[in-house]
Amino acid sequence: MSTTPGGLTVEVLEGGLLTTLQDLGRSAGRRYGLPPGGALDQAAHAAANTLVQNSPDAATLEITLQGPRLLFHNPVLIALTGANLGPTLNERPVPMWMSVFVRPGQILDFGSGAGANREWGGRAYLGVHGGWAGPLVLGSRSTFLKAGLGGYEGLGRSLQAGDRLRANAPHLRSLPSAAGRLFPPGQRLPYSRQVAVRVVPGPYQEHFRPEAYDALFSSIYQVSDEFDRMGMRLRGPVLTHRGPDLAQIPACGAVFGAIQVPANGQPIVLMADHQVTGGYPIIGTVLSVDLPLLAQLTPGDEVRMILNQS
Amino acid sequence: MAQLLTSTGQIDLRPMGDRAWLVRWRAGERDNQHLDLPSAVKYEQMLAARWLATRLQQAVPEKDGWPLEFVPGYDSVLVPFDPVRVPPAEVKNWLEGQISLALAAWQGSSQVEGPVTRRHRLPVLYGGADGPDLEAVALRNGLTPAEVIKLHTGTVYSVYLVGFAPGFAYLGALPPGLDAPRLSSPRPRVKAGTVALAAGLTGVYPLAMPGGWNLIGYTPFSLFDAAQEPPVRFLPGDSVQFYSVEAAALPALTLAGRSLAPGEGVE
Repeated sequence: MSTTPGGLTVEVLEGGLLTTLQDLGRSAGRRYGLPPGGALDQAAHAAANTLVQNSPDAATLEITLQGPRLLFHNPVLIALTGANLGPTLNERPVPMWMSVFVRPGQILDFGSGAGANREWGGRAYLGVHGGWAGPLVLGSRSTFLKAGLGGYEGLGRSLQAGDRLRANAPHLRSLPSAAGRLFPPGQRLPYSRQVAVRVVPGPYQEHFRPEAYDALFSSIYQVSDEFDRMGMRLRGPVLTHRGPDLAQIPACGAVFGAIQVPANGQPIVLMADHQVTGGYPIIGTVLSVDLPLLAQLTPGDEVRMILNQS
Repeated sequence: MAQLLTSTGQIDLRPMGDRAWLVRWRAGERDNQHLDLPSAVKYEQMLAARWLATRLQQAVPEKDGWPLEFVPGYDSVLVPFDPVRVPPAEVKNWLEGQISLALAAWQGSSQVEGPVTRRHRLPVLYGGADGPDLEAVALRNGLTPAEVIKLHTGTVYSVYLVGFAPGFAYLGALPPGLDAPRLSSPRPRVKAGTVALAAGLTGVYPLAMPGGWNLIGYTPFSLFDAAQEPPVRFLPGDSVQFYSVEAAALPALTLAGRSLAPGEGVE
């Protein structure tokens, strides 16, 4: 078993439901029709990097509901943040939000319960000291599934059994002594299965009846099954356009967090891998700092929109 | 066209959340006027959006958190920035100044076209299994399929916008006498390379995806390849012309059309 720094770190025994390399995303890919992408929960991504003493732009693994099974071949410092999807290391529970030293031969597993016992959230982030290696594609290691771009070996797909991950070379001299560091609970976001997020109205206010805003800001919306890295469809009181022909707009650029309303009146929140331009009117846009709360929701969870008082 | 940019009163600057400004202009009284506008005005609005986005891109200060990209839409330009590193109001002030300068510099639609620096010629196998709507498009326009092909290949298109999908470009404008509305129900999957038209525009699906345009043919040329730099064939301002080929030519053209660089793989 090799212990060369920068050598093979992890052998993927099982890929899990959707495990992708993500970072801060691409800041200049829109000109090619590429969305910003990156970790959906940027706060948890950043926390994982902080715990393993990386800069925020290092890549983490975004783990969705059913986690992977990973065999470590080298000693590393890892941290898991975000949703508690039931991780174990050689069958012993791994603390969340804490840096952990891993020895060669140990297996990180998430069982088969798809995070059944989780209190909240659907995404965990696995950081490793040095950051997960991967080619920079347009300035980012983020996986963009739709175009098969970036991520592991630049293949643009989620991890599969047989994949071999590397961490970039460490800068710490002693990994064990950096373990046991906790991300303070007070600095974590108020994650829950019922969240409230702040929304800036517009920019297509005039496409909606005033009642639409009353409904938006006084109702509970439920996360539907149609939720992926591109967008989250919500279910709840209908948001009425001022007229049937106002349910479309000339396509305009959009951002992660923009809330589009198509003709059926059910809102769609754009996520990190959204289409660069969209043709439905945007009733409001979620504040950046509240996006992680939204990104952690799973089908059936609830969200309230709060008018942002700026 | 000129009236679009003659007064700041017609230009709207609105926030999209806390990290983007949306510059929008209006061609008429009604908010959805755009959908009813004559095609020529729509295209000029798109060209104006492209022109303004390019101007802003050239003028933006290279400072931390400032906009890195300006995203043209049909009648808008999106300006994303990092609100942690730059106050939104600062970006707004700069944008207002730039828009005033743009209005002052505006000299009508002739200059917005800009010089064409990149020309593409793409082979298309029209009709058949990958162009199932060719007949319907012909019927709708009172043409034969051969006449549709003649019109479609006889026009040099301009890349108005990219953005709907990686590598997808809105190419315009269709020549007079050739057009069709979007399908009432989009197809769940359109194959990569499918050439389509709708609402005054034409384009090529770069990846397999759902699609609501009328499918008239297939090009063996790649439109998107993550391994190339840039990863797309079409950039705003490029010109594009199609030419008709037979099925027998496809294998060789597929090979020739792997490179996304313009001028390569030309017949």
